[in-house]
Amino acid sequence: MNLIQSFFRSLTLALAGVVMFSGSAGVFAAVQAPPLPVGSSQVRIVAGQSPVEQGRMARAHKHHSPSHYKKDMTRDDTLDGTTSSRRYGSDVEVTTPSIKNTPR
Amino acid sequence: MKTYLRTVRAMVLTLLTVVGWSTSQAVSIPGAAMTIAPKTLILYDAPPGTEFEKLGLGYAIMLKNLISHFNSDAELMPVQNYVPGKIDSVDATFYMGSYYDNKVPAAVMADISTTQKTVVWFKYNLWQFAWDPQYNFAAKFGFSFSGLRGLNAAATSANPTPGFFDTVTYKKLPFVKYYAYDAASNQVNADPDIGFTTITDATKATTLVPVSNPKTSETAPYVVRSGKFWYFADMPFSYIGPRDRYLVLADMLHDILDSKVVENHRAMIRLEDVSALVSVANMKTLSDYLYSKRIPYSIAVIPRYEDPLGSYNGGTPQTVPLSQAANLKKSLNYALPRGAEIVMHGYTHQYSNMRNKYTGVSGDDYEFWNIVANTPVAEDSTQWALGRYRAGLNDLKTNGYNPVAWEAPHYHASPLASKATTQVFKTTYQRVVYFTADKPNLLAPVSKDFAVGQIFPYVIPKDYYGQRVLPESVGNIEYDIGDIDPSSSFNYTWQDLLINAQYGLVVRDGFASFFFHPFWLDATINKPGFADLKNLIDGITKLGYTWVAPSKVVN
Repeated sequence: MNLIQSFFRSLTLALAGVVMFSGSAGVFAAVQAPPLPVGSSQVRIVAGQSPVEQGRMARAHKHHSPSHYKKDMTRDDTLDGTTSSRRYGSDVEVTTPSIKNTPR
Repeated sequence: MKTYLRTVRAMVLTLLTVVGWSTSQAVSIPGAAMTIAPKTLILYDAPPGTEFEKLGLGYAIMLKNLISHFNSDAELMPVQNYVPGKIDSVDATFYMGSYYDNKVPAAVMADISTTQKTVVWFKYNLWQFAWDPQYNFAAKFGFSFSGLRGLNAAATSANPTPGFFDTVTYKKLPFVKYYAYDAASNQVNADPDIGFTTITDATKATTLVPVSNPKTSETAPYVVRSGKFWYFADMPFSYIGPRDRYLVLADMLHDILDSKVVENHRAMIRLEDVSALVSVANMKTLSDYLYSKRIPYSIAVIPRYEDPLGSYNGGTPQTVPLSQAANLKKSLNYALPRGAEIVMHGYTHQYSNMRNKYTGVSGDDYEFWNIVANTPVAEDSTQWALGRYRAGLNDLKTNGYNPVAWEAPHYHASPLASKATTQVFKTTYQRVVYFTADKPNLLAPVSKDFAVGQIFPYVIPKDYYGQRVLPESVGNIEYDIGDIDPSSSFNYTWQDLLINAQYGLVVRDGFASFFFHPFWLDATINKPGFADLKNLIDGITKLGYTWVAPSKVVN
C-alpha cells in the first residue's frame, strides 16, 4: 500500500512538474539564444558616463591655483592694481601687472 | 428635435473633452508645433538574484529622463512584471534588453506582434521574438535577426584593439564608441555587442542609422525601423560622452515620439566654482568681455568658504562667510548688471573636516556624497540636505543675491539630496548621477546598486528625482598644471569643446552648454585661458547657437 501511495505521489509530482513546465513554456518563449561573441568574458560594461567623462567631472572642479594660498579673501584684490596672490609654497606676494589678462 | 438636441449636446461635449484634454496635454517647446504628451512605458531586464539585477533599472532611469523632455512621465516596469495588454494602453513602449538571454514574457512579444503602437527594442533578446516561428517576425517586419557580434577577437597585450562595430554614423558625423583595454587585468572596458540584423524587405524596413566595423570594413544596421517598430542594435546608455551615439538616440526620440520640434540650438556659459577665493580682476575681465558681446552668463557661486584643515592656509582652519567675502561680493555686484545670473553651487562645496577626496577646501571636495567610501555621507537625509540648501540660500539672499538654479558640487549628490532640491529650487543646471536605490549599496555581491552619470543635450523638465535640469553638455577647458598641482594634469582644449558643440548640433534642439573657471586667467598659472575662452565663444557662435540666460530657458 505504501509503495502504491508513493508511486502515485511521485506520478502526481511528476505530472505537476510537467504542467508547471508547460505553463512556464507558455509564458516564456523557448528559443535558444545565439552564442555570445568571442571575448565576452573580458568585457566590463559601465552604465552612464564613460570613465574618461567621469574623471573629467570629478577633476573639473578641483584645482590648486597659486593665487589661492593664504589669500586674504576679505580684501579687494584690485584696490591697488595688484592681486593678493601669493606664490605656491611661498609667502612672497605676487604682484601682477594690471594688463595680466591680455591673450597670450 | 429632442434627438437633434441630444446629438448637438453630445458633439459639444465631445469637442470640449477633446479640446480640454489636448490643452492639458500640450507642451511648449521653442520652435515646435504644439504636441501631445505621449504615454510611455519602459520595460527593463531585472533578473532576480543576479549581480546585475538592478543594472537595467539604471538604464531605464536614463531613458525615462530623456523621455521627460517630451513631457512624458514614463512608467518603469521590470519586464517579468508585464501585464498583458499594457502595450496597447500607452503610446510608446521601450524594451531595454540589457541582460543576455533574460527571458522576455511571451505576452510582451504577443502584444508587440499585434499592436499598432510604437515599440522600441534595444540590444539583447530580440532572438526570442525574431526566431520564434509563431511571430512570423521577418515576414511581418521586413528584417531578420542573425545573431550577436562583438569583439572581432579576444583582446590581448599583443592585440589590445581587435576592433568591433564601433562607429555609428549619423547626420554625417562618426560617433565612435568608447573602448579601453586594461592589459593588467586583461579586461575590456567597452560595450561592443550588437544585435546583427539584415533588411529582408525594403518596403517594410529601413536602416535609419548604420554602424561600421573599421577593422573588418563591415557595416550593419544600428537603428532599424519597420513601421512603428524600432530596433537599436546596442544599449546607447553605456560609456556615454559628448560625442557618443547616446546623442543619436537623444535626437531620434523626436521621431519616435513624434515631437515635431524644429531645429533650434541654444548655448550657455557658466563661470564655475566662484567662491570667496575669486579674483575680482579675473571676474571683471570676464564680465566686461561677455557684456561687450551681449552674451548672458551665469556664475556658480559657493556661498560659504571652508578650509577646516587649513590646506590653503598654512594649517590653520579658515571660514569665510559670504558677508565677509569682499572679493566675491564685489565680483558678483559687478557681474549682475552685466548679464550675469547666479547659480548656487553647493553650500560649502566640501564636507565636514575630512578630505573628500582632495583637500577639504570649498570648491575642491564633494559635499553631498562621501566619495572616499563611495557611500552617502553619515548624515545623509532629506532634512540634512535641505538644511544646507536653506543655509546657502539664506546667505545669498541676506546679501542681496537670488540664485536662479542649483548645481550639485562635482555633479554628485546622494539620491535623498537630489530629491530634496525640488523643495527649494525650481531648476537645476548640471549633469546628474542617478542611483538605483535611495540608500544605495554599490558593493553588494548580489543585486547591487548602480550609479549612472548622465549628460543631457536638452532641458529635462522632470528627471527621476523630480528635478528640472538645464543641460551642461560640452564640458570645460582644462590645462595641464601638473607642475603646480600634480592632480591637475590633463588638457581639455577649447577645440575639444568646440567639437563637442558640433556634435550637439545633431540633436535638433541640442544645447552647447559649458563652464569655465575664472582662475584660468590668473597670471601665476600662465595659461591662455582668456584667449581660449574667446575662441570657444566665437566658435560656438559661428556654429549657429544662440546664447541664452538660464532663467530665460523655457524648455
